[in-house]
Amino acid sequence: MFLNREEEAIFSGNKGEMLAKLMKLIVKLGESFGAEKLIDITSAHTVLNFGLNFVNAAAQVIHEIREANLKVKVRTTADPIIDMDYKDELSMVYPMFTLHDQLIDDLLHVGIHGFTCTPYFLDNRPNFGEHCAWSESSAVIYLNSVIGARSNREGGLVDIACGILGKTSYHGLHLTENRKGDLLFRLSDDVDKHDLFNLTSMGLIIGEIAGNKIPVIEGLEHASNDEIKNLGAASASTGAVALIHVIGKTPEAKNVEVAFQNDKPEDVIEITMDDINEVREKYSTEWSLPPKNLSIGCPHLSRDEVLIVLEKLKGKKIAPGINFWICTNKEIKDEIVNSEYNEILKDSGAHLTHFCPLLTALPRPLITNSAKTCFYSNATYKNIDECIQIAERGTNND
Amino acid sequence: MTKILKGRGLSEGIVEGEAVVTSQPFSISAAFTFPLIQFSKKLKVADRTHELYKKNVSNKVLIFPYPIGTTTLGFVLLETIHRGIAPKAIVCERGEPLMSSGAVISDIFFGLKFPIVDQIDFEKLKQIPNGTLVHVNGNEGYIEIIE
Repeated sequence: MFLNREEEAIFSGNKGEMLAKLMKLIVKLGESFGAEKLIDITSAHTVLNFGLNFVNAAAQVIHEIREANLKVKVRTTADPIIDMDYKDELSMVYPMFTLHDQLIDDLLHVGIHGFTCTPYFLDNRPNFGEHCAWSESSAVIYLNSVIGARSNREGGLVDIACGILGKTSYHGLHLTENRKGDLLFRLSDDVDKHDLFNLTSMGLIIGEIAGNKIPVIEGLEHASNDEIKNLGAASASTGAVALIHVIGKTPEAKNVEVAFQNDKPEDVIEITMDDINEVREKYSTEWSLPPKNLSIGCPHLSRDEVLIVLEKLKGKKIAPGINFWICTNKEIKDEIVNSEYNEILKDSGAHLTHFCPLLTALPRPLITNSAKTCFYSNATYKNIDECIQIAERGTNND
Repeated sequence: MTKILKGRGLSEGIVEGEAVVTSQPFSISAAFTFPLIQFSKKLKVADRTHELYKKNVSNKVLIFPYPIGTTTLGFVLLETIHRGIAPKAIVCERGEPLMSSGAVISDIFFGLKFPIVDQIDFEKLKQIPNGTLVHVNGNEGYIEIIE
């Protein structure tokens, strides 16, 4: 790999041992994947599972980075942290986050702040065409597909190395030719394309079929950015998908020809309602016991999405013994709690939180409208209206 | 009789172990996070959608077509290596940087080698019977099937 004089100096240890290790990490990974050089980035985002008991090794490395007194060069955010407002409700769960306080303290010292899986709803929102080093599969797919900035799926720690160096290796989705669509997906006429539950289920199917190829979706020009966020998160769970061209939405995909860079799709796949019902059955876990927890907001909800849920909750009451979690970033949470919408939260008994509903091991049975949560946890997968009905009734039976 | 399959070394290390082969793409996060949370001494695959569900892959040479799944993959793999419950090596057709990062970080920061070899045609890999002794050389990027 070509390194300029400054990069070479860092690599050979002239700027300290730790910086050399970080440089070696991104150079070694870059070389394996054919990068010929490094490229400047404008933004980074890391995932460290906020100090759960299984990130000891990673937390140790971050502590060493902090001890070396290194700071990030570009705006760098991290995935959600725990929410102490609910320490009573989650007293059984929080002891698992043994590394949390130390990790947050280390991250803040390194200059990393803003804790959410949707950092683009904060001020970490790069511009079209900018190069970034993001982790968090659902955020990377949003960055590439909705914003049109460019990032590979970096890994936790690698992203921090990139943030500190202000660089990543130039390969994969940083190059225009690697952003070419591979597969064309369409929804058959029997699928309601305005139903979010259909779109997220479709996301699960697309990830399964695409694997690590680049899907192109025709017929979702009307979809909102939030809907694409939820669809993409599903595809990034069942597959290694990091970019979906949604024709008419993705800045680089004004039409099918452009998305495929004038080439032909390898395959054209039509998704039917039968396919959607099948994938729901495949990933949803049905529980006979009544639910203990319902979670909405994986990935974290936008402000608009929170308000949609609150509107639906108006005049309703969550049954006793059930926690109904609405997950978003701390800024949106604080704003809502201090607005007239707080009445709906108080009256309904729903909880607005900034934790991650996926990593917070919410006691089961768990019901969710998130395809991603459903894929990674043994949760029941329902649409938002069903989730609210079940929460009101206190049982999943009619 | 031995048979050498040439590929690419994504991370350094030279090991030998019994093959566990699956034709299903493999989600390291979905498979390994739960045993780590449980502080398990084994590494039983916890992904209930996977054919290797409940199979202990600790100390095996794990062979699959390509990795899938969420971004935690790298440090989940790192943690299994750090705790000494990881597979011995990973061999696949198409690797990706996320998976490599766990092994490369382990080498750079902890001096623990975990070889990953990719770019071997899965049509060849899937013919390796489970339990076959496989030699994995991540430094030079090849595997050797020992019969």
